[in-house]
Amino acid sequence: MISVPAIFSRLFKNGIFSNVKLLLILLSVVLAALTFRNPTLELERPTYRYVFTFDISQSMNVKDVPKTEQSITRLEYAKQATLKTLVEMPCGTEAGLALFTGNRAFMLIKPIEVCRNHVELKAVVENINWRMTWKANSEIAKGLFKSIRLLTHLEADTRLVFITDGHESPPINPELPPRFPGKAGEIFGLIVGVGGDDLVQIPKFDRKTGEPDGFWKEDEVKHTDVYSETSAGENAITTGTEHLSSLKEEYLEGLATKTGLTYHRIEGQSDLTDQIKTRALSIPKIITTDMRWLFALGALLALITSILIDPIRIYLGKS
Amino acid sequence: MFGLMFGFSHPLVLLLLPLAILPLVYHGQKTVSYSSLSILPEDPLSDLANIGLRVLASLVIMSLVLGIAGIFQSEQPVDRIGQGAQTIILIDSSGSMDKPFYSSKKNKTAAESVAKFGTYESKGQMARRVLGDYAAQRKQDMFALYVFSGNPIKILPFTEKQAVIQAAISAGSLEKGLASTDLAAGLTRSLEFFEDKEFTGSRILMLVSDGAAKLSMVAQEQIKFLLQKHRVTLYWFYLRGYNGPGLFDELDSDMIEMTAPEQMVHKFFSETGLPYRAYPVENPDALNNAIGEVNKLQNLPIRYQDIIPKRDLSSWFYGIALVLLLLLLATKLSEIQVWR
Repeated sequence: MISVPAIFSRLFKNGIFSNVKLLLILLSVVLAALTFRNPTLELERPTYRYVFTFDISQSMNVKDVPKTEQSITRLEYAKQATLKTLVEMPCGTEAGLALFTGNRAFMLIKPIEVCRNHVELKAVVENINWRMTWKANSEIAKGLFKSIRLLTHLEADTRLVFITDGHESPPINPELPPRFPGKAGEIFGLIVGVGGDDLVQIPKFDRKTGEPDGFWKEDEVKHTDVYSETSAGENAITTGTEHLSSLKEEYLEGLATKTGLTYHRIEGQSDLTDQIKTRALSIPKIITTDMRWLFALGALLALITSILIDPIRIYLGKS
Repeated sequence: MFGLMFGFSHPLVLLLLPLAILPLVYHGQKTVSYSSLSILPEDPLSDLANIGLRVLASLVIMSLVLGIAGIFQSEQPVDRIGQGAQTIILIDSSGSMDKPFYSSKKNKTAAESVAKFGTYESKGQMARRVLGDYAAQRKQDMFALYVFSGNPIKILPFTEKQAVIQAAISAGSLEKGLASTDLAAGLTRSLEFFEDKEFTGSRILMLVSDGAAKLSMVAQEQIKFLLQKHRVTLYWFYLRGYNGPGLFDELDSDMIEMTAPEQMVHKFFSETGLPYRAYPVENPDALNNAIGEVNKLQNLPIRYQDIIPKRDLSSWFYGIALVLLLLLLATKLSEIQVWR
């Protein structure tokens, strides 16, 4: 056996620089050994915490997205975009899920980490459907305000992603819009618009069996708000386009301004991820990064150089 | 499953693997010019040593590359025998669950009667807290979660991940409950969760509600059929309301139908002849005790699937590389000795 002092005495006797190859191998040994000291680097990295709130009201059953290809329902499209986002977000991101219909939101699951719990999160998103509804109305503004309040109960820096088509049913009185009780900018996040630009029929389903039951007709829905209806008495408006639905972008933009959220319409496949992964919505977190690879790479380079050093010398000597 | 499964955190690094050919091509040893190699005597031993060295260097390169690529053993399911159960928690999320617990105090102050939601612990919040504690104690159990109001809401399929279970159970505590109560739909739809699931041990349906609507004959038949088919034990934690008569108070039959549909439901469950227990609870302690009792009852051994988490193997490969490198170094050093 060669003892350690023996190695050193031999090295020094030979003159430490006389055998570059040996030195390189020694360097490789040292670097490989250093990986066992578990070198780490503490870096500040952006992480994210979101609650995705899905509008499950009836107008979300309209099949008008995406525009070009075979259209699917707005809700299905929203779910697919969310599933894609869950895969694309970096590990450490937390996602929670909630539903919106009627005039409020209902939390299904509080934010959990997206990589470790991907199977479960995926299952919860896939399960979401309009039959979970608890009320036939779709009071977007109130639902949004309630969603914001819901998030104030959660850990700080939780962002909202409120996915809707903006179709208020019954319609609201433009003179008397619901008052936002919170503070603008209290909760950051996005209002995500889903749906087409053209007015289309809203599918109707049997409430008991869940079977398709044609489309909503003009005389089956309210075309004006309760206040106007009552004050107009017999002259109340009973015709209109409220039985048809399109994405109400302007309205949602207005709500975004009022609440301090950002409005965005999903168009492409990775679109939602791009909007969500912004610096402004990120939560900086110190993450300890494993740096063993750097030392191992050094060991690798040293060893390879020791192998190639002679051929290179010969090559250089010849030329 | 397929036994050992490997993965890489940075698979692109594997493109460096061909570097392992280098030592086999270039020997990296000093060459001496000699006029005629053919007259040198053959030396099989040093040929062998030469090959050995090259292979050694090649193996070092491979190990280092695999380590840098972040080789890991994938998570694997293993069958284990343990104590546990498959439990579906079915929580009533109707508006009445927002009220505080039954209080025997006769003269309540006005403030106590109409307290603002959020200023006290409601029945729903209380139930979710106790259920969360129960789940936390039963780490080997699988839990699924269903809430019901007007329509049943399937929340979580079976999972053993505590973080997920807790996040789902507590989610409903944040805000008020929903609208009405449809017990029949909640029961049938949640029992369907067991459909096509392997029978691995005891199966429990924990119904947590504070009342019940009448169950139609059709619904009763279906519920009984599903309980039997999936061999489910039903526990009903009945959270008695302010003025509720409870499950066992004796009332005449007309009164029962009018004021206490829960007694009818209890009667139906009791008469199915299937494993069933009702725990009428009137205060938080009683709920704690009831759930503690279930905890004791449900300790039969079951077969369940455990997941061995993903394991980082790169240190093993760095270790192999280090040992081989030391061997290489030792040989090189002895070479010098021979040359002198």
